[in-house]
Amino acid sequence: MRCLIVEDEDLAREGLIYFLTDYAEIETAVNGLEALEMYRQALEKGKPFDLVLLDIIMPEMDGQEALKLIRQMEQQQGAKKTVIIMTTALNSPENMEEALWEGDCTDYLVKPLVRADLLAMLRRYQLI
Amino acid sequence: MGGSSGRAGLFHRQVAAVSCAAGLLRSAGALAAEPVPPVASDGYCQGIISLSLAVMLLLLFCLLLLQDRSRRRLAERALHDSEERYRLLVENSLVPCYLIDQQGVVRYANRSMCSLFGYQQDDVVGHMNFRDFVDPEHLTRVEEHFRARLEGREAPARYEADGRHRNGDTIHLEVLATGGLCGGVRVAVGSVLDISLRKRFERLMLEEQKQREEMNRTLEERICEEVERSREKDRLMLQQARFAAMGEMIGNIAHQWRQPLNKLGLALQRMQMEQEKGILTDQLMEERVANGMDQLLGLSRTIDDFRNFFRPDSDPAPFSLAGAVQKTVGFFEASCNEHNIKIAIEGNSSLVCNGHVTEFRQALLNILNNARDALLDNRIAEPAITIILRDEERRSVLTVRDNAGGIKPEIIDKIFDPYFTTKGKGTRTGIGLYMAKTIIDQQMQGRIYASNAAEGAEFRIVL
Repeated sequence: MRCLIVEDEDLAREGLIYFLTDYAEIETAVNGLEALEMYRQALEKGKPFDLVLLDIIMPEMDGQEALKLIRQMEQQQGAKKTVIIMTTALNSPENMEEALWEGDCTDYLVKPLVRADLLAMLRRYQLI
Repeated sequence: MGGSSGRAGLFHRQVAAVSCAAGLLRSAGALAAEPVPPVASDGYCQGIISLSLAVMLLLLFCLLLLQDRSRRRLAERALHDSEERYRLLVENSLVPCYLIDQQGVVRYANRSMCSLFGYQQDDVVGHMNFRDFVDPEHLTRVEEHFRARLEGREAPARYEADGRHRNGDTIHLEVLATGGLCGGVRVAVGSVLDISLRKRFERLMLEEQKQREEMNRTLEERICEEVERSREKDRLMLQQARFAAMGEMIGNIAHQWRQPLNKLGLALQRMQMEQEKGILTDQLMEERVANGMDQLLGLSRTIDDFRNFFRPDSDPAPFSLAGAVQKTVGFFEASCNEHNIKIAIEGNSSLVCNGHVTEFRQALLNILNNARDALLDNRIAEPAITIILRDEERRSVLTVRDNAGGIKPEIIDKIFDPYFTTKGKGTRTGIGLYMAKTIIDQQMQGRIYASNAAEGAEFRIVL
């Protein structure tokens, strides 16, 4: 499984890497703009990501904007929809609605992240 | 008097003439009765003269008598004319008049008098007693006046009493009463005025005056109550605003806590994994604990800051304006980051103000919340809030400017009104800006103005 972890906080990013290191080939980005470019390159190389863990609040480009552009890229290139899980500190209904429906994410996890919950979700989407 | 002496003189002249004529007649008769001397021509002549004189006197008497009768007719006509004038005057007068005899029977009442009480003249004159027209409660007093008039004890009196209309209604009257002789008998005469309207007006005036006096008496009390009520309302609103601000702040705290909590959680879980894999060395353990403690101390500081932010100041004191702004922004920027709202502080950082810094921070937070809501409502692509600190003519001026498009002109005068909000009920309280204005105006002795700048709204606080 190829996984892209998008997280601006070093400690959080390292924690996620450690969580998934046994299950995936991991690449990382620190904001939405960098993530978009990596996703585009992966598609061009024919090695798309199977999973994107996408933080919402980030500098340069936030997760919601990156999500919309990734979905647009997939549609334009006729690629299959990648499992994109938003990782967020936002837990208000408005944020959830926007992330799930307007941005068309696959699912979301609310911080603080629990490894067991993350692995259960990956199993549900048959990624591990 | 002149006429009277003239008439007396005429009478005396008539009497004198008649006496003289009678004397002459008697002389003539005596002469005739006496035997006429046979041949005395002088005596015959004397008789003729006497007779002639007598006839002449008789003629004079008749003439005087005729003249007197003519004068009497003229006097009678004058008397008749005079009586007619008086009758016309009294009978047709609009002022009710009366004449009452000693038994209290109404001997005369003009039409106005009878009409006032709802009667016809024929019903009243000679048939009714004045007591029939007086309200029973006032009868004793009126009777006293009546007796005084008959006895001639008092000069003409003017008094008020209630009368009774034929239909039972009360008529308020002013009586102008006097007495006099009529046919040698003492009677009571006078006139009455209907003062019902005046009395009603006086009563209204009196009631109004009483109300005014009562109002004046209780005015101070009511002012105190109103002031206290207003203060209580302000206290409740302040409390409500504080709760709302605390709710917002708790949201900010939650966001501020979520990241460190996440890091701490990840660190703990990583330690567990490292321990399971047997790679958790002492050095790694020390690193993980140190990182975890950093996160915990950060959480603790956030809580302390939160508590201090809302701790009421006991007395007003000088405070750094830039410091208060930075502290407020420190709490506020978590929610700004969440929505990618850029927030910047510019200008003079050495300004010092006097007042309750906690209240000021709350006022500023309310203005910032309002700006953030406007930016989110209008879905601004690159939302930004700028806070500018300036010294203008020895006054500290703080400007909060956003790029949310500005305030609609039709509501710009209402935005500081209590409970005014552009959103439906339940979404926002509508007291944030009201409280900000109250704090700035009343507690900081400053002024707050709202206007539109190039890209959005501008709130200018002059302290």
